Order: sequence, then structure tokens, then C-alpha cells
Amino acid sequence: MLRFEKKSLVAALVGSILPLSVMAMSVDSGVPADQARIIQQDQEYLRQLNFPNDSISAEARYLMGIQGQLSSKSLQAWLDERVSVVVSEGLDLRKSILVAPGTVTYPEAKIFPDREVRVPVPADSSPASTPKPGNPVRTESHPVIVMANMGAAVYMMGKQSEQLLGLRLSDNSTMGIVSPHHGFIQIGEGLFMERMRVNPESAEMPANRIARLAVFFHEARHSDGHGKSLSFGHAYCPAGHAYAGYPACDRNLNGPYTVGAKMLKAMGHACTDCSVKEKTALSLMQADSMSRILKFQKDGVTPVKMWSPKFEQIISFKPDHKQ
Amino acid sequence: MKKIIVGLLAIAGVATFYFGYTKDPSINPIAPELKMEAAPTTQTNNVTPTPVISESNGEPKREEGPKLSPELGTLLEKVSKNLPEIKNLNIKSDEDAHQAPPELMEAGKSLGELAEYLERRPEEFVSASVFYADCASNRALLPAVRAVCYHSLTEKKEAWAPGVKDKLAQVTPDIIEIANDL
Repeated sequence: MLRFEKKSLVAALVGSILPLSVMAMSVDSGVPADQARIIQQDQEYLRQLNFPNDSISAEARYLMGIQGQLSSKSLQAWLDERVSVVVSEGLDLRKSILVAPGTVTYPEAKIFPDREVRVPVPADSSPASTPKPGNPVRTESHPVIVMANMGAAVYMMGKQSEQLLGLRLSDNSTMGIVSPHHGFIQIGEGLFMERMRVNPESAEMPANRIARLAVFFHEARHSDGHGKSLSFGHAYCPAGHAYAGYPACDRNLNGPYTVGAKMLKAMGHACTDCSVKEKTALSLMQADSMSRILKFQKDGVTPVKMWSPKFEQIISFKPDHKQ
Repeated sequence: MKKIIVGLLAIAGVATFYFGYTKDPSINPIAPELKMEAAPTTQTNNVTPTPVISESNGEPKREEGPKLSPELGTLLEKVSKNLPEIKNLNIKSDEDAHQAPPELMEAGKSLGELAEYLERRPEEFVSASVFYADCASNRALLPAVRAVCYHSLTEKKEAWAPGVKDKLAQVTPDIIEIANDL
């Protein structure tokens, strides 16, 4: 891990520790041009959608904490608040994560999300490849990145190590990760692969744009939360669940899978040029997300609740001028 | 520093959206029982719903069900093959499990094709209702698939084949809750 150079440190923190300024999500220059183009077109597509003032919009608005009408504008703002920059899977985080020398004070400094423990799963209750307890699963083939909210992950690492961490972007500029809301999202080839499209014809079909945007909304939710709920982390799916033994469920009613599901529904309904076939496929994706929302806590009795989306931001940072 | 990197990767594993390249070619999906042998060769829209299942000596016995047009029969056979069973999901890592698996995406295309067909030929829904009911009540299938099948049925209650209502009594509340929210 590298250390901030003095100049970049100042640049990274100006405007960061002060109230977070919301700027439009930018795409790092390291993102391949074809991917960057599609991502930007997706955002443009979102801006063109008209959301009716109906119960579907009202529910999404309530669960996502959006004030006023659900609109392309309010949804774009919701994304922009949670994602600053989109980077490529090619960005080597081992070389790009920086440490700012100095003393940092985090809110709720000793409070972290409960560590989820992989649950034992009977062999006959889940996919053939369900992991065994104490035996972490490792993919045999090289995984393809779809999307990852690395800003939240880096913020949590900084909090754990009591350091202010930052990121060097492809153009050599730096950004301090003073809050998960300064999120950076990493995208990869998987987001655009044909077999993951609703309509295999072209990545640019409206239904495929909706599917990708829903992933964005899911990942953006990981920028929320504080203390125990920091990053709205996933829970291990329990025995008997289709994804039993994997961290692919939510133990809340307004987490990433809920947000993804509600956005699939709202955008699917708003899509005037999606076919019945595409809308059915989007419904299936929505149902899959919803099937991952656990209704009860680990005790199987206490109903899960909504989590506060209040987000964290470092309280102070005092640079170490000796460095 | 190394510790930070290791920890970072561990956390990233929880908050990421990956999937692997591999796909199990040996998917053995359900094939809801279809009465294809009774289908006429030319008629496409004159279906005659009849009771689907009766009990005889405790053994379920299939009686003559709604007749399928050859086109719908072929389509249902194809869709059936693309409905993923939970046990056949090819999940190899936490990252694979994090999002809708490729098997589900394939199922979406097939169910979408069926929905589109039935929109063109609504008079054949009664034949497809048996398929949807089998799908919704099959616990081996992914819950999301079952929910979409259930939802498809509830949208056209007036066009259910006899026996469908009884089959739906086996559908669990969690599936109905998801279906009602679609």
C-alpha cells in the first residue's frame, strides 16, 4: 500500500471532510471505452424514464428513503450521493490503495457489523456445490467481476486499521475514502456478458440497461449504514434456502437486494419499449432478489426490520506533517 | 500492510457482485407432466380442459388434461428443460451466489417466451395453466421461478384448467408473498 504524497493528500481531503459534496458519478479513465460508453448511456437511459406516481413508485421511494416523487432525477441523485467514481476491474487495488499519514477519528469507532458465520448446511437442502462449514469456497475458474462497491470495503478497512485510506485513480489523481458515500464502484466484463443479459441481442437493449442499472442501485446501497449496519452487509443464507451457506441474503427489509428488486420493478413498469418477454425475465430477476430477503433474525422468531440508512463519515483527520 | 490487503479482499467478498465462467451442462430440470401425446396435429386453439389428476388406490393417476397445440407443447417442453432446480445450480463461490445465476437468466428468457406466446394466443392459457401450476408447486425449483409461475397464474384466474386450484394449495406462503409483489 502506498502513502499519499503531500500534494495529493491535500487534494484528496479538500471538500471531503467538510460536508460531502454531491457530484455526478464519474467514470475513471481506466475503464475500457466500450464499457464506459455503455455505463454512460445507461445513466442517460435512467434520465429518460418516466415513473408514474403509483404504488410501485411509492414503495420504492419509501424503502430507498427518497423524498418527494420517484423520478429519474431523484434516482440519479440517489446514485450520485452514494457513488463518486466507477473504476475498472483492471485497477490493481494492491497498488492503488493509499494510506494518509496522520490521525483519523472515525464515528462509532469500535462498532462494526456483526461478523457473519457460515452456517452448517445439510447436504440435501441446497445447491450441489453448497460450501461446507470451515471450508471456504474457492472458484475453480477465474471469476469475472460484475460489480463491487469497493468504496465501502476500503472505508471499513480504514476504520478497522484506524487509518485514513484513499485511492489513486488511473489519471494519477487521488481520493480520500472519508465516507462510504465517497464510494467507488468497480465494474468488470461480467456486467456486459451476453449470457447475463435479459435480451442477448445487444447490450444496449433497454431491458439490459435496466438490469445493469438495478445492479448499480444494489451496489450503491452498500454505501449506506453506520456502526452495526455499516455497508448494509449481506447475511449467510440459512439451511433450506436456495443459496444456503452463501453470503447472498439480507437480514433487513431495505438492503441491497430489496433496493435492487424494487428498482427492477419500478424501471420494468416504466419501460415502454420492453417486450413482454423481457418484462417477464426482469420479473424473474426481481423475484430472485426478493427471495434473498430473510424475514426473521437468526433465532427464527424475531422479524427483521428496516435498517437506518444514515451513513458514516470520519469526524476528523490531522495530517502527520513529519511524513 | 499485507494484513490490510487480506482483510480488504475478505470484506470485498461480502460486498461484491461476481460470477464464474463455468456452467454445469448437466442441468436436469423438472418437466411438468404434459399431455403431449393427446395433442391434435392441426388444431391450435380449440383446447378442451378436463380434470388433470385423480386419486386411484392412493396412487396419483393422470387423466386426460387440457389438450395442447403442437406449438405450445413444443414450447412448454423447451421451457421445462430450462427451469433450474436448486440442486443443479452451478455455484462455485460466494461471488457466484451473489447475483441471479446464469441458469435463472436462461429460465427468464424461456418463461418470457412462453408469456409472449400466451399473449398472442390467450385462448391457450388454459393449457399452459397446468404447466404453471406444476412449476409453482414444485419445491425442487428455484423459489424465484416458482413465484413467477404462480404470478402468471394469478393474473388469469378465469382461465385455469380443472385441478390447478388444488395444485396451488401446495404452494408455500413465501412463494405467494414474492409472487404477489411482482
